[in-house]
Amino acid sequence: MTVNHVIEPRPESSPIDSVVPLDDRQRWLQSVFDRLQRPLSAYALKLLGGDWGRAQDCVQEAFVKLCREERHKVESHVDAWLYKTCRNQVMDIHRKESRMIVNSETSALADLHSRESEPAHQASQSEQHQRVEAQIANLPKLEQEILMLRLSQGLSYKQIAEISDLSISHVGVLLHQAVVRLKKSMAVSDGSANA
Amino acid sequence: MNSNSSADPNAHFESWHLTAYALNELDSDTRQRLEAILANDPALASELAEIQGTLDRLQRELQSSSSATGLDHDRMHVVLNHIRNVSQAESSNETRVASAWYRFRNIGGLAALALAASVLIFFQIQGRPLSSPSTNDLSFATENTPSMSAAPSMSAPDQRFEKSSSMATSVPEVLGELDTADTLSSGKQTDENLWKAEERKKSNESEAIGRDAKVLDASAPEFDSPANTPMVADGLKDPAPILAAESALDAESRALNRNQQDAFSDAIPAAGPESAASGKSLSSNEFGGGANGMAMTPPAPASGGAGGALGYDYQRNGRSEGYALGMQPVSEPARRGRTTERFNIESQGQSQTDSLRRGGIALETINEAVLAKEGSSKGVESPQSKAVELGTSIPDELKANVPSLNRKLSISGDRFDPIPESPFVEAQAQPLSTFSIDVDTASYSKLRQYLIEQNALPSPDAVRIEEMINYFDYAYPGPEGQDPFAAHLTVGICPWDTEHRLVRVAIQAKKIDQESRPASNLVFLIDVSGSMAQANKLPLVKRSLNLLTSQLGENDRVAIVVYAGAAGCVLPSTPGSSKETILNSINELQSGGSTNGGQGIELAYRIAKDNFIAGGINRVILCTDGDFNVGVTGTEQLVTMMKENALSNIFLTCIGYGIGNYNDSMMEQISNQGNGTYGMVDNEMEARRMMIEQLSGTLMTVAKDVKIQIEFNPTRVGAYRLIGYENRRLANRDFDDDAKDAGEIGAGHRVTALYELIPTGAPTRSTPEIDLRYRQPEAPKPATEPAPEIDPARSREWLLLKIRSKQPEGSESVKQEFVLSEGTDASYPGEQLDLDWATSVAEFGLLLRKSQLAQGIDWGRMLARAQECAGTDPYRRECLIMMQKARQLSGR
Repeated sequence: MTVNHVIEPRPESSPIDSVVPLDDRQRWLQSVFDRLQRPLSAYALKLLGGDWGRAQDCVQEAFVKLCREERHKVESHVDAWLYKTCRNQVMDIHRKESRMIVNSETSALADLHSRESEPAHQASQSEQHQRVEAQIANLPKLEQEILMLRLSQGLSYKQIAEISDLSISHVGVLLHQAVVRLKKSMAVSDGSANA
Repeated sequence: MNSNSSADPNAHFESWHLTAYALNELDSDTRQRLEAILANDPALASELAEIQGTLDRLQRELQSSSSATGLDHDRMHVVLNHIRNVSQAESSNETRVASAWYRFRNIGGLAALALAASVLIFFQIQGRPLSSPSTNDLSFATENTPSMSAAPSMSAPDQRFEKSSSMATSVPEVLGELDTADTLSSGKQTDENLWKAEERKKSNESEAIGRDAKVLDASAPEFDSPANTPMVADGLKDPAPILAAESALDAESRALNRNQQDAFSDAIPAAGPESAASGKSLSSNEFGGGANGMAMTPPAPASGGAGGALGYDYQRNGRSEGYALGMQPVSEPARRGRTTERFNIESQGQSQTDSLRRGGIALETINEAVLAKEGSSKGVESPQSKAVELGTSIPDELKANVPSLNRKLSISGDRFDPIPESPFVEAQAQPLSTFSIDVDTASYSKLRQYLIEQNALPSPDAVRIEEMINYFDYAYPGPEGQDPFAAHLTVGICPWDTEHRLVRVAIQAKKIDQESRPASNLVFLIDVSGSMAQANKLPLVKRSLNLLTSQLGENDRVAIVVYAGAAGCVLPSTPGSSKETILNSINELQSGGSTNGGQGIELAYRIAKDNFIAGGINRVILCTDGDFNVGVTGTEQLVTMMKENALSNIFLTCIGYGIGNYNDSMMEQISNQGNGTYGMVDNEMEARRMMIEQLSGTLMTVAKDVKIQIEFNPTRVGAYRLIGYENRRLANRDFDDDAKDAGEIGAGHRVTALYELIPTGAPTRSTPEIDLRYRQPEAPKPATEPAPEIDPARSREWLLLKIRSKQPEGSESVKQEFVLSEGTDASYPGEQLDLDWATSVAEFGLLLRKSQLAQGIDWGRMLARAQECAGTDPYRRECLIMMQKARQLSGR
């Protein structure tokens, strides 16, 4: 199984949008899907420690559930809703397998990358980049998750709070802790690298 | 956060606010307070700067690492389907109903279709000429006059037609001859390349199969090592005048090259052992780049050009065992002059050439070559004519084109026959076009894997346009009464060349509901060898079988035979009502061991015979990843067995699972020989499609030996070209020969074929006429023999379609005839959409095949049309995505 399973970002006029006249609600769902399927997949993949198939299942299920929701109830916070639903799916899986969330000792992100460790990827990954990854991997799982949601998924504190059932300030605290920790460890490793 | 105050240095703040500030997450109050603090606290400000820096860096790193992929195509489908079926209503209840309906529709797809068909049925006017009005009217009125009056330009070519028709008469003979060589046995044609590759592998103990594959591709440029060029030349000039014809094959010199390869192996018997030896060295050079040990002795040379050896090269799952199981002389009709027989059974992306398919295609190649020669002799401009001229410089061509030789070894190790493109054929000289129909769709599934999962364009030879077109559902109404088929013919402007016409021939087989399906006696023959362990193989087989089991009733019987190291029956024939028993055996299947398909298939047929249901569906269903090791039995025996069983109405369905090393050609041959169907299942959606939606079609044959013959009216049609179906063509005279085997068609199946026509009077883009020394002088036609009068009504006709088929258990064929003339209405609502869709898919295929004969095709226009007619059909919509993807990948 290769990692590149999916269609490249479509040019502005996606065939999906233009083929059949969709009603409002379908158009909305479609746009949400187009916008979020990739970030959600990445997120689920990370939570599941690189288990690609399961991650895909969770994302699919989240979107399917969205289709069953009433639009007015979710529209205002659909991003967080989807992340949260997806996260719940992941939790279900973990529960079923009586594992803690992202409990594998190997870092999820490292796993994610090991899946992309084709020569091309390896070549493009700087040593520094790998160090950063390793440092992120040393963070507590929840901090890793929040870091990802904020920095690579671009979700707001508020959204993250909704997704993770924490208060906004708790999210802020965790994120800050993570950043400070990383700031230190990166300084150390940069220093040793330069030495 | 207690609030108010403005720039109070002592205001309370929490350290996490720094990060939040850097990320612009603070509300304005808090932000202002913090800013005030920062203004007075350089240390804090520098900490903020550091945090900012860290965040920037993290953001960069995380962004680059999350260039993740989205959903894969079948999951994407599931979601898209849900979105499509969400009703406008906001109530979640209604939504559930909608999606439940969709599920129902999915499962009962056929039933729903049948229902729809019955509503539409009165639109269907069978046996009546049909054409789409809009496209038709555009052109025909103007077209008419010149062709009716046999325009002056026709009189000059007349002579040529005379000339070439004498030649044309010889063509069918050649074709006939070729056709008697069934594909399988022609697949046994010697291919020295394979030997070398195999030997090398054996001696390598092939740890490095994958590397081999790469090496092979990479090694191609080394082909021009000086040693072998002369040999190529030898091999060519030596034995065969037929080479000239064969060398005419393809404009792209790559095909020329390929062709020479075929010619080469053909030539071997004639030239004797020496040339065979030189053949070996040719190929060993050709593939020699990474060859470590090619020292293994070639198999015992065959005496008198017959006999040969069987080699098995068998490797699996990374851990590979290369061994020769045995070498056994196999008698081969000497007239066909094949020296060596070989079955190449392998797995996991290894490097061997596709000798089988190459051998198999040699027949096609000659076939093509003859046609091409014919075409070019008449000045219809086809690239082939260039190839003829190039014929003398073959060694160079060979050198230049070795890389493309290896193109057939696709990235995944799948192997495909080279498919030469059909040229235009003059209607005057050869008004008949005959082909056998079967509905396979494996090529399309393959295509999807390449585009969606591997992000790569398929090799042109992996693209079978007819399989792409026939992958989709069209709303063709079925036949009335007892007729096995309905036909719907239309003609329109050819979108890639507006001077040309595009004719669609749509044939719809009788539809039969799941409910009225006769009892079935199914024997599953399941490959449980090591290579099947992958997720998209055996586990998918199990899911497929689970799906199928859910469809069975108490009158049905199921047995399961597995084959690996030894064949064994894991489930004796069991009534379909004992679902639990069946499911248990299915779910206990495990992979492991090597493959011996020969014994397995014997056992499977025996069980099928023992449980034969008269008047029911009796079928062996082979599920494999294509590593069909035919065992020591030998292909001849195997084919004989399949044919015998087909005679006693036990048919075969082959289902290929997984990607990588899928021996497509082998599967197709086996399936065609067994008078069966084959398909590919690479994901659950496809499994569902195969097992449920098409169950009645897959399992129930409504007609066998189905042949299609089209007679073009030369007063209207200057030249024609069948798009796709390259390896389904039959000799014209076989049409009426009931002894000739052809494809079978399942219930409800439909077949669509497209012809590109050059109307008479249209510019033919032909090369200027060359003065031929030996041509008959002008006006040879004696005045005493006036041209036979054609019924004026008939002059309006484009073509006559004849379908010949047998009842599944009959041996006498029946013929149905349909006429396409101008000015007839659409035969059912929405026909134009179907026509447009088929056209778009054909264009897609031609683009992927890099067609030389359809230069006017444009990605943009193709996509635009496809988008207009895709409708809500999820399969078509998925194809749109593939089209879009392919366009990106091809950089257009």
